[in-house]
Amino acid sequence: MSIIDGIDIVPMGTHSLLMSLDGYLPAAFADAVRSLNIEGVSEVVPAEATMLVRCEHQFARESVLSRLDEIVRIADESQVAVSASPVEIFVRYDGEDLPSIAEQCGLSIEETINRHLAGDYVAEFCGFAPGFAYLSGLDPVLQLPRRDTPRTRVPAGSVSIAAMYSAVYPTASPGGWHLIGSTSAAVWNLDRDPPALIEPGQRVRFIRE
Amino acid sequence: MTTAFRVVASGIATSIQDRGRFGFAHLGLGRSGIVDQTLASSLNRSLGNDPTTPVLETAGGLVLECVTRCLVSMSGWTSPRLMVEGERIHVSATSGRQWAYLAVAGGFSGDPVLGSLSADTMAGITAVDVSVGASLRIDGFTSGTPSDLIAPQTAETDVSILPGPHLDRLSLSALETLTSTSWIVENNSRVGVRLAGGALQLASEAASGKSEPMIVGALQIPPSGCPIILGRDHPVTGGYPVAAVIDDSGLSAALGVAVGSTLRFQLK
Repeated sequence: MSIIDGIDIVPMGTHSLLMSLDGYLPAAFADAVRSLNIEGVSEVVPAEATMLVRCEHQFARESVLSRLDEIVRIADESQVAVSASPVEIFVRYDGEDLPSIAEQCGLSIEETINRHLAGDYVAEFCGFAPGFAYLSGLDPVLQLPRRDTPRTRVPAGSVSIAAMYSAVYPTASPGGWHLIGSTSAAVWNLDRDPPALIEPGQRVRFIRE
Repeated sequence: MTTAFRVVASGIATSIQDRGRFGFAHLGLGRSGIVDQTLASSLNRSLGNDPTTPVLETAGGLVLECVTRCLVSMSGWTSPRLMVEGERIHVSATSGRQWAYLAVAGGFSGDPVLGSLSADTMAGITAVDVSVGASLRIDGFTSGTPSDLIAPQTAETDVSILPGPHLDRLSLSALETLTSTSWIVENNSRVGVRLAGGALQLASEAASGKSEPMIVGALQIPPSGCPIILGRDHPVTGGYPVAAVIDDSGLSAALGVAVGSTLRFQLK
């Protein structure tokens, strides 16, 4: 389907579109689509390098395609202006895996904590569980593969790292990430709208409690 | 609002469902909602309700006792019936279908979570308690005109599909295998339908499994090669390649088909 440099678009299902966004932050692109309030576009879901635009009818799909230039322009502008103040999350560095993270990275515990604190994180997308935001910006030295054996239960509020991301477990769930600390921040709250504390595209800073 | 029923036996995978919640997928919360919308909407319409008025959904074994008389429409019936106080009703799926529905004139009521009464098994949301002893409330008011109850065809197992976005991560024969195999439904939950009876081959240079956005009806191919159809409570992102997506016209048929049944796909 129609191609702008770095953007590849294929249909997904009856009316929806899947966009591959090479060189763009899918969350910024998703915001751009959402800001146009196109009738019949019911969900705009960014992920790691792609984005789904869920359309309820053919007219909505055609509207999105016909306004691609506008969408790219808005996304470009929003990426230039990463000005919004970050969501601040207070962390106790009491994670069960902190000693093993430090050892695997060849760092002292204090240096491991400082490197995690120094990151200027951006929520790339949510997935795995409701409110689970994949935060990019993790120090390359701290980037470890997932644990060989996932835990059957990780407590809510666990601050964790795996591969190029950091994340906070919004609810108790199984999980294979390394636990570096914990927070009492309500990352997911169904009585709040939006229920997620961290939305795709938002900046995040961890602060030592 | 009045209490219309008391739950005597909660049955299997029972929940209240409606159209689901819209606009939260980017936060990791999917839409949820009625699995077999064709069936549920025919029951709702037979009572004069809107098609997505909240209904009870169950995989069987649900027993209710009527507390206040009300007009009810249920899977397997040919017309609505008036239920009276003390009467018990057993709700189970009809032959070939995984999900049974009970609709009531005016619809079930409760306190919506983010705009919907739908339980979401993936997100752990239960807006309305349906455990043993729970009281189920109804709105008891309907403004529409009832229409005839048209039972959907139960033998409808031929489903239209559209090519998926990741065919480059599968062998060239992937669509051919999908459309030439008689798939057996091995497992059916609100999260997805697992198929057996054949296997698709992944491309030799199996590419990375980055997290990608998913959609209901996507046919995901895990390393085993046996497709999984993503259901209403599917995770919003996933890493397995999507070989095809079920056309909207076939979603209820594909997601509502009973374990052990056969499912065949044809390209739209």
